Amino acid sequence: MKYSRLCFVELRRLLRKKSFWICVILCCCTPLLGFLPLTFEDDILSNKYIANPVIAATAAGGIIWAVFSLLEASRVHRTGTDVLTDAVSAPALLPAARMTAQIILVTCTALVCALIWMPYIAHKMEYLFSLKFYLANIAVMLVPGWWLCMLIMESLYQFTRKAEAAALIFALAVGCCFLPYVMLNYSLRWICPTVVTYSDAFPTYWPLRVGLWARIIWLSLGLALYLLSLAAVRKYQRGMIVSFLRGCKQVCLPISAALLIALAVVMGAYQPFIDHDPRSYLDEDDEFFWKEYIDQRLVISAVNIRYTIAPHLTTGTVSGTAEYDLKNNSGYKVENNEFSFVLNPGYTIEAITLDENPVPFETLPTVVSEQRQTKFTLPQPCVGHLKIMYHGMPAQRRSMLPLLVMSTVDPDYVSLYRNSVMPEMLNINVTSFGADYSIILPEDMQLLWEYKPVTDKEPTGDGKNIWHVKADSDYIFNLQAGKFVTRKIEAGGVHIDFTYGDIYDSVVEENDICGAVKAVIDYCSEHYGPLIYTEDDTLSLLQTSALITGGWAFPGAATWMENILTPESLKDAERGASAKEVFIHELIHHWWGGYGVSFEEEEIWGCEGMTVYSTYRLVKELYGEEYAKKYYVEKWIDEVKQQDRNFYNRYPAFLERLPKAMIKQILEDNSGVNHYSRMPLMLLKAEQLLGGEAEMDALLNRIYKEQVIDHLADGEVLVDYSFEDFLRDSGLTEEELHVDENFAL
Amino acid sequence: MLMKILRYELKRIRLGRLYPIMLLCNIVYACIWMWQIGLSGVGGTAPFSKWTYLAYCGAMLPAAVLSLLLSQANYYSEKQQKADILPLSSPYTAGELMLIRITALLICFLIIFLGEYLLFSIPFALFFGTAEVLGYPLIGLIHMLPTVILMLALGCLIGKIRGWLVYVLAAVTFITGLAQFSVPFDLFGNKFFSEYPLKLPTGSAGEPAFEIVPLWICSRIVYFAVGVVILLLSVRRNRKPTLDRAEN
Ligand SMILES: [Zn+2]
Repeated sequence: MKYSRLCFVELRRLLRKKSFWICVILCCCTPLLGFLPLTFEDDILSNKYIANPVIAATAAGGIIWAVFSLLEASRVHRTGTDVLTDAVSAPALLPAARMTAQIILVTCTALVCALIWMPYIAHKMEYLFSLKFYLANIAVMLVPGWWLCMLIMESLYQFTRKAEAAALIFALAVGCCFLPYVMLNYSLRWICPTVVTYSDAFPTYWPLRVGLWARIIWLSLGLALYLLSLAAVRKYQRGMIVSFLRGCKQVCLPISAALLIALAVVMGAYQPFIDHDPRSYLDEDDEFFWKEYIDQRLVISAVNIRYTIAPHLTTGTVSGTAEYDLKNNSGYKVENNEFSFVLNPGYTIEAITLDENPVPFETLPTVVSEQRQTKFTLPQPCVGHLKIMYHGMPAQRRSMLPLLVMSTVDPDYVSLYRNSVMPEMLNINVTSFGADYSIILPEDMQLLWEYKPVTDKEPTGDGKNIWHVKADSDYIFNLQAGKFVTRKIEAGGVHIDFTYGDIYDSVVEENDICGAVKAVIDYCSEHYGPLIYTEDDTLSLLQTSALITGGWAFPGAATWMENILTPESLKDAERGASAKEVFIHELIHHWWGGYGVSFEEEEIWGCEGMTVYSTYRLVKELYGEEYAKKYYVEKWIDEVKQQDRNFYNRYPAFLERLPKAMIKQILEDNSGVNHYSRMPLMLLKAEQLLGGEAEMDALLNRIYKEQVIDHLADGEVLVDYSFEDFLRDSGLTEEELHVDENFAL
Repeated sequence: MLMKILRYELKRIRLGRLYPIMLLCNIVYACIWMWQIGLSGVGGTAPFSKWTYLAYCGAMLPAAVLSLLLSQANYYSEKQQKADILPLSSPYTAGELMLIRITALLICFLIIFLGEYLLFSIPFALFFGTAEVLGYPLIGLIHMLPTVILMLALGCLIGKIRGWLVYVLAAVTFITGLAQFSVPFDLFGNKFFSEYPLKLPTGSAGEPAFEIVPLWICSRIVYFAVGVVILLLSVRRNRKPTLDRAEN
């Protein structure tokens, strides 16, 4: 029978099978696993509603299809029809046709599953849903994952001819994916690529690109294994080895398998995403790696430094040009005319010219902390117009993967760090003269320079803008571009540039987030003291991509994690009664918490309690006493009451006997109540004991001044503020501040 | 003869592929809820309190009703309708036969109930060293049985119209069951028992003592009565037409 006809027959047969339809239904249910409480909590909706269910469906569905193909493959032998079917067609033809039919059906199932879940996911993600991104995930994760599981299981069966053995080996292979080492290595986890995080507003295709690369490697290997297993299909009731050798006589099977394996090996060895630094840790000495150059006497200086950087958003690459006018003002003659610079190892140097004449250069293979050295030799006297042209995809530090994606170029988002922006000269003096940067970006993107929005731009006429930055130093830490919106707010005597992803614009509008910014900064500056990270009375408040973990503060800029504006986190009732109030809470952390006074985290003491208390005070000023009492004080009392009533808090002896996970859960709940409810109540009590709000504010003002302003003025490091410090400063005792369930106002 | 058919029905349900799987699912479901609400105790009461036990029963109910309705839906499948010709040749009417089946399903429910009760009581009695839990089955049954009877009766009623409607009823029940309303007359009642004790004053033990909420007990009586009435009505309605069919 012809192969295509055979495929059609298999297709019809499978469609009539009950077990196939059961598998389809089960597979359509697998995304549910991604919503179980087992998976980690996430404010980023793309993680919660795309990454988690897709990964769960990929792994669980893969296993289901593997079982299905095992049943199918062993069916002909279980029923003893193999003698019959072998007579009808060439022995390898039937399994091949069956696999083709299965692959077609599984692909259709994946599409159906994606369509079934789409309305729910789109509904849940609201304005953050992107059809393109959703389908890209299905295409990169789900479909190849299901194929791969079937191919591997089928090959295992053809090799072993024992369903139990094949299932056992498969189970072991799946188990390997959950080893800690494999979990962290994005290319080894074959059942599903690792995704650390997605971003809603600044969608990065990084995990997908890396995932696709790993998929191609694994599919090539799976297909090679499958082709070899076809050669091993038993013929004339012979053993495996004889059949295999006979099968290999058809040269095309082993040759294509070898080619596929070669492809996988090459792709595995030359991944463009990582810097191939062999070390898996960060070395503190890295900074001094280029010491021999840094210590050289710098004879040549560069002036008129100009960098032109053009990210190519579709390919994820960057083209750059660095231009220098080399001068020799040192009075010394150049002894060594070999110079070097370091650049991101993902980039290749296209040309280096001096006064338009090419100069010889050599890029060394050694990679240290995302830096690779290029040496070039200039003709004496080594002065003139030096131009370096480079191009490539910025590579990540291998030791950071997959925890952190630093430099990335995506269709709607660009983030480049240090040497992925421009080369760093090692033995030419560039530091003291500053530099001009030109960055070419599509019209709809906003450039952020060191976390501050840039305004100087000029259209090129072809739908792009050239952004100009005149920097004081030759060094840049970070450059970002994306669909950002900047709102200018005047508050507390400071100019605030509040910048966030444009997708959140309606959230900002609806919840009057700008009003919240103004209210908080006015209130806290007046009651506690000025913001400390301002530069020239300006502060850039920036929402960054979820890929950049943690919020940071620099002179003139403070960043927030992306989840500051996501619907999930703005609904967090622990921090505030409305989205605006949650945001107020977060902004107050500029005074209490990471950016301002840092708190010792104790059982009933920490920055959260102080922040919640301040939020309550501000809300009271904004919406009145009734509101603040209802949504804050009464809520705190309720929580404390519930906590005190909890059985295990009444009988702690039983708590110790519970399973560990349960104890952890209860202690976490307790700690949440202690910090978000009990401590604010304690501060409220302190307020009453001190004599009122004015006295409390005076105390907080003193704390902020002593802990932050004075320390910074003296150039000292901030120290954690403990409960004991508070008791000392307020003159109150622990007994006086004790809060129990009968707390009365 | 009656006992014989009952025994036959029981055997069929028990040996059928569906029931053991359902029983297993119910037990697994119960384990999850034991972890979720049982171990921590509801509404600030002890894990072994009557409040917690009733909340646990309320959480179990949707799954129990779902499995019973799925078993019931089997009766209305085409295959089963054909096989029914056989017992119909016995001297019993279709209505009586249906009652026998409902009885068989109720016995299945009791097995599930007992399994879940043991799962709750034995670990807690051992862990907390209290014999209090041993006296709970009655109140649990008072809570669960009326809902089960009402749902089975509804299943009978709409199963007669179209067999597949029972599946719809099962799905709808389970989904609404997950939603759980915080009112004493909620069909399932998990949320009510979790939240109600919070409103009560704490006693000497540091937690509210168990009390029977009047509205709750009334709702149970009403559900029970409505269920029985629907059952009797459908038994009467069934008598004539099916007999004719059997005679054909
Ligand atoms: Zn906070």
